[in-house]
Amino acid sequence: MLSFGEALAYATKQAMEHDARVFAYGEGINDPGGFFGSTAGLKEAFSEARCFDVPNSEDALMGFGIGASLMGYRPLFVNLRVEFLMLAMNQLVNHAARLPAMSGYQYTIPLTVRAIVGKSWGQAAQHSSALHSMFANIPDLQVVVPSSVEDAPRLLLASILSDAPTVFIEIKSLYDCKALVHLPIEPLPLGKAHVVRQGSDITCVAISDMVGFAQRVSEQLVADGIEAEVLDLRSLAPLDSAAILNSVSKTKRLAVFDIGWEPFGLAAEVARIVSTSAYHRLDAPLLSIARRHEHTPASCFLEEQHYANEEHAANSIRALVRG
Amino acid sequence: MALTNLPQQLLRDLHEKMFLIRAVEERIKVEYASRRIRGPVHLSIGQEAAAVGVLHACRQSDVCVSTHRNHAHYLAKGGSLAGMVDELFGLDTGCCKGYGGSMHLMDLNANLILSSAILAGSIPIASGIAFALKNEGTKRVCIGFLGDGATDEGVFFETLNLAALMKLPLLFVVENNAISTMTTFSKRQAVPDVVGKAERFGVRGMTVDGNDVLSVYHAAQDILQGMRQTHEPFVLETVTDRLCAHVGPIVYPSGIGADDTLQSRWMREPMLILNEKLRSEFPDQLDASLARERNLRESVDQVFIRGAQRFDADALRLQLPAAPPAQDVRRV
Ligand SMILES: Cc1ncc(C[n+]2csc(CCOP(=O)(O)OP(=O)(O)O)c2C)c(N)n1
Ligand SMILES: [Mg+2]
Repeated sequence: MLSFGEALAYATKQAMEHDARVFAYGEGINDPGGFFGSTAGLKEAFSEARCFDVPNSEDALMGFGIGASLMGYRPLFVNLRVEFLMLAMNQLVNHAARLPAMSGYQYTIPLTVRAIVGKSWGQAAQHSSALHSMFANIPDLQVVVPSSVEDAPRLLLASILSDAPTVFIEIKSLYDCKALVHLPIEPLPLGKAHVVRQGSDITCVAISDMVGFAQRVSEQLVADGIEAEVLDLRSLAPLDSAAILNSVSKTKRLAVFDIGWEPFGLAAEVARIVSTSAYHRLDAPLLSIARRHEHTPASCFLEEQHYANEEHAANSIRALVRG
Repeated sequence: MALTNLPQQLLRDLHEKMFLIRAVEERIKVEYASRRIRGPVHLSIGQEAAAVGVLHACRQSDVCVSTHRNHAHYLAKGGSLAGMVDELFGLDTGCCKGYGGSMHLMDLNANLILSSAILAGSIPIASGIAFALKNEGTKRVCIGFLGDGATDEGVFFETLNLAALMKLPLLFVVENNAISTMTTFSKRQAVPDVVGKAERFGVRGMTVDGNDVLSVYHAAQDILQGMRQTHEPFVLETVTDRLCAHVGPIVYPSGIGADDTLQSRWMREPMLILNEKLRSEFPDQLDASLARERNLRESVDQVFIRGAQRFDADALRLQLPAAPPAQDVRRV
């Protein structure tokens, strides 16, 4: 059994063993905690030359990774919170994502950026927001959103092996999970969704820790005779539109479970995909389950209302399916 | 002063590169007026000496990154002229296959691997390149050009720190024309002292006359030689003048740079200084130098003519809409 952090550390180790061009860096990467265990043991295994601590200069460090990428390295830039990437958006968006295109695709930038959505307790507005939709809007930027201990190391390995710049978004709530992980780690193809639960009454499209959420909701619905299909997208870019269309063509009902906000978010994108495909008319309105469109409050009382609630989600699906 | 040890070959090479760049940019003005170049162009006219001086002192294998004002860097580093001209014309044979345009010239064969039009955007990337070069165990260095305007950006200081801390073989060349678009350096920084600031970060630096290609060349030679031993960063500030408007080959707007006039700038521009030196050092070479200029101009014209023909053919074939009429384009 490995924890989420241990599984990521294992995948990183495997990538670094396999390819000397892989190196890891980040603010506090070699702290005793090792990014919740996800970077633990790397320095010991590969020396500080390949796993090093850096100043608190996110924009410069993102550029640093791009430069090393252009010279053939495969850097892994580790960030404790996704909000810290806001200070590196110039390098991430204007450079990592765009330089290959600006060169007429004469080169690639195999940079992987790990960032944690700090959803846990009392983390407040600047340490628990989910910004994946922002990244997924940018052409040529890959966005990976693992949902489980089994998938995360396989998707991380795929990200490191991939030639495109990739933002790998982990949610803190998953760090509490443990699971059996098959070793050595086999990379998963990016852009391939995964049917984690089969069903015929409604398609639940989900990402990150909302996949587990949707699975638990689905179990509640069994007693009502409702069989939900849960589709884990695994990555937002590339996005497996075919898997979504495939599933809704069978269920004719659709719920989207996002870790982020609704406006211009995952539900909007899934709705676009489904509604622009003439062959997939839904029998019911689309249901969107997401956090409230507000900045995360710190108080445990307020936080309780901020995040989506499984009971409410189950009730909404019941109402939807019964029509 | 007689520069007794000055090798004739060096002066000839520097003159050739300087003139090539000037001839290309003069020709760009013409093609801009013809509306075959459709997009912003930032001319290096008056600032060629920094590019030529530094990049003539470096090796082909050294890696260079540049800015919105990259024409001189691109050509001085050995970027393909045809690739540049085709890129300016938007042809798929351009150095970026038409995806880059004037502001993003690059040529992997010449090791000028990117030009960013975001101020200081290429500078942190240069640190990663320098890191890779150092890890390689060779003595290659990375050269990152930026303007004084880009030294307003925080990431410049982040990168100074990173380069000093990690001892990266990164040469920052700050082309200080004391202006950013229309805003003078002293209006933007309380202490407009690039080298002084760099030194506080632990990066050594020096200032040279950026209009004198020989001064730049000799300074760069010493600096690069040192860097290949120490692998440490360095800031070279080249003080220079912009002789055209910020963008587009239009006349320099009046009312800026109050303490000097455009005329006085043209009295100290790099081609003039270099030609003076050539004349005084090798008076017998004057004819040869004029012949060289004629040949260069002719070959530049040929490349532009070929590009223009391709442009016209593609425009016809793809039914490209006509561009709006040219603005007032005068020679400065
Ligand atoms: C981040 C950013 N801010 C503003 C601009 C707009 N801009 C383009 S060039 C320029 C002036 C830059 O001055 P400097 O760095 O001194 O270079 P120069 O044009 O003088 O060669 C400005 C402000 C930009 N491209 N990027
Ligand atoms: Mg300037």
